[in-house]
Amino acid sequence: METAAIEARNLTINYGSGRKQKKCAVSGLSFRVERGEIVGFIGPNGAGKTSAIKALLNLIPPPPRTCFILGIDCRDPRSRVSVGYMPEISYYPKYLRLSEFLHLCAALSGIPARNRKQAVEKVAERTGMTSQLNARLSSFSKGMLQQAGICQALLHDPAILILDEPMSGLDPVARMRMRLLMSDLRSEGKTILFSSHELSEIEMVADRILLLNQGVLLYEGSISKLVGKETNLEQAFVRLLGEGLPWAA
Amino acid sequence: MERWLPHFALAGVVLAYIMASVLTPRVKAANPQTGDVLTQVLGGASAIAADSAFEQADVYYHAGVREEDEGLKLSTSSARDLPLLGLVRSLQKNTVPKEVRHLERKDEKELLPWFHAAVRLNPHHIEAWCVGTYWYYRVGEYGQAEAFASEGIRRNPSEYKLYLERGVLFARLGQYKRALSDLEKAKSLRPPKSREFEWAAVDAYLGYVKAKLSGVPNLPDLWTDEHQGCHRHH
Amino acid sequence: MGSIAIARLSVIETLRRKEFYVVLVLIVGLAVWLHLIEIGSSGAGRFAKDVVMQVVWLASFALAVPLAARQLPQDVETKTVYILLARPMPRWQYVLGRAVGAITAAAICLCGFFVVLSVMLSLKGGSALADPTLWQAFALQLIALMLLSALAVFFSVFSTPAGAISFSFLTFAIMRYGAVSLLNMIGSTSGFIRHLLWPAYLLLPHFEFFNITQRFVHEWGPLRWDIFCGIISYGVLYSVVLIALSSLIFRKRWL
Repeated sequence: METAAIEARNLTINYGSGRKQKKCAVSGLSFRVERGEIVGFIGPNGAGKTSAIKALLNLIPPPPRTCFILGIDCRDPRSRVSVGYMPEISYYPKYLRLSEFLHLCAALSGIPARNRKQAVEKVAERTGMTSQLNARLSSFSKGMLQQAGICQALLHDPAILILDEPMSGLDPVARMRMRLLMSDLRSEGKTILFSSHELSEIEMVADRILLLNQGVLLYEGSISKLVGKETNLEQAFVRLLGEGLPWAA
Repeated sequence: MERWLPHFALAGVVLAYIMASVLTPRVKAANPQTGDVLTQVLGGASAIAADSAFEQADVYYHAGVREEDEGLKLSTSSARDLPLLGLVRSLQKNTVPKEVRHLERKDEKELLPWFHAAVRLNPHHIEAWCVGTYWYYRVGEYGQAEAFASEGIRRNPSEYKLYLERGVLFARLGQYKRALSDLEKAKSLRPPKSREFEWAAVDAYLGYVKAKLSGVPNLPDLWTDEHQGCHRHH
Repeated sequence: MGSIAIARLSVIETLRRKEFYVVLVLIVGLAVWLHLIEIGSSGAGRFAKDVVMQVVWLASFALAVPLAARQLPQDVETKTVYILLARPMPRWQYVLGRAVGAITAAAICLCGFFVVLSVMLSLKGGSALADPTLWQAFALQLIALMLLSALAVFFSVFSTPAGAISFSFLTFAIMRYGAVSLLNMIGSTSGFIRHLLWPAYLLLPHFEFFNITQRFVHEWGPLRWDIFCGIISYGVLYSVVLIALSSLIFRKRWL
């Protein structure tokens, strides 16, 4: 079997240590994201989506041999060579200009110095941020910060993109641009794992979904199979959560 | 626990400040209510700062050597069994001036700014006014010496020691009538009884000045270099 | 290497904040005031030298410690650290970069203050600028800043910025002004207490080694060069150990 782009094997994350009561954020999570597909990560608030994403990026050190990117254990920094990440909350060094910030990201991603300027200009043009390159990040609106987030995620032309709530705070036009961008990226062969509360957006873009609730994977598969006889994904989502809740009849 | 650690540290600093304010000042402090901006900002700490400034003059006189630097070799002589002690002491001693020596005559004016700093921080620091007056005289700035003493008297009109110091200054300069006036004023202001050197010195200098004014023959000159060593400021 | 890029970020942030310029203006003002007025007697230059050097010391530390103490916590609090660590860069490079950046920024501030001091000394005349003691004092102060910044970064890894600043200043004040008294106190103890206190005393960072202001002010001449190099090495080594420990602790931290 070809190495998956992203793979989790029995990933468990427990918050709290010592005498504090442990809170289980993710329990026995296993999934695969194949190369070239777009997978939506959905679930209610506190389901464990962000914790799982953090484990993939080693922001929360996962247990050994539970998370892999292109076959490399996520605890190894080399696993992030081909990953572009956009966080949910867009906080960037506010004293920097956009161009300086992108140059910083380029340096951290291993782009050689002689290629950085070209890479920055190319990604700014792709996302329509060329005119903002000399502006301070502190002056950016929320939407522009999201755009800046996409820029830094795409800067080093990664094979895999992990996007945490990419549509958050965007107006309808910006959302459409984001959807189009994601489609373009898929056609370039990129793999995208993104989490979102916007089920309609997921329906429009994702090939498959992972439905998480209270740290447990309730469903992994295609949207059409999940929706079945329901009108839309939202109804299927609510139904599945109802079935997944321990107190559901 | 992590949230409270900085508060513990701050509490420790505040406690240390309170202890220092209570234990350290040896002189009457400037009144924070009526003092100038600096005194009002520093409050009781201005007395501590004034003491430090006054002590700096002594450090300067000894060319940067502090008392505790000299004490290093005495207090740890019994601790020879501690590893690396020699290295630590060597480094501590080498980074500060350590030989006992005094300023050369030409450099003695370097002390003067510290007296100004002391009285600026605490205008009631009588010792700073007195010692500062002496040192102005010693470096040959007689006009400044008189001005300094006069300013001290203006700010502390009931302090007999300041009148004594200015009286001695006038006597050194041969202005015996002015010396007499100040010494008599000092006598009228001094407390009924005291074991302080200055208390008895008022009578001694007063007697000397009166004798000078009366024309008593063969009076010794008290202000020669040989006599300088007897003065309390030395 | 990633550390260099991260360090550059710290330097840019510091220079774009206003604190450094405010302090620089204050020091220039102080130096001008001390130069123009005659306190005490004309030609009394040691006072001005002493005061400006002490202010430079204090100002550079007052800038360096908060700067270093907020590097890591600020990134974690604002979640800027996610962007930085989601790169193929080990965490130790990030910590090293932040620490080196804070140290570099503090060193730049100190250089600015020393320029003011040098101008003041040259205007006063004399051969103070040619005195090797002054340059030794500058170098030692740089290393002391490095050590204090590394200490602040170390404390910030497991405490809040306020806590890191408090502990750093407290450690500095105790060792800078009380190291000799502490040594005397340990010397007066005996037995188990002494053998407990002595290693703790050795482990504390000895900031008293780094201030040779009085040697410069009172014209005692430079330190012996073997002692000078030894102190520099001590400061550098201690800083490296602190940064390494910070990296080790930060490695396992959940963000």
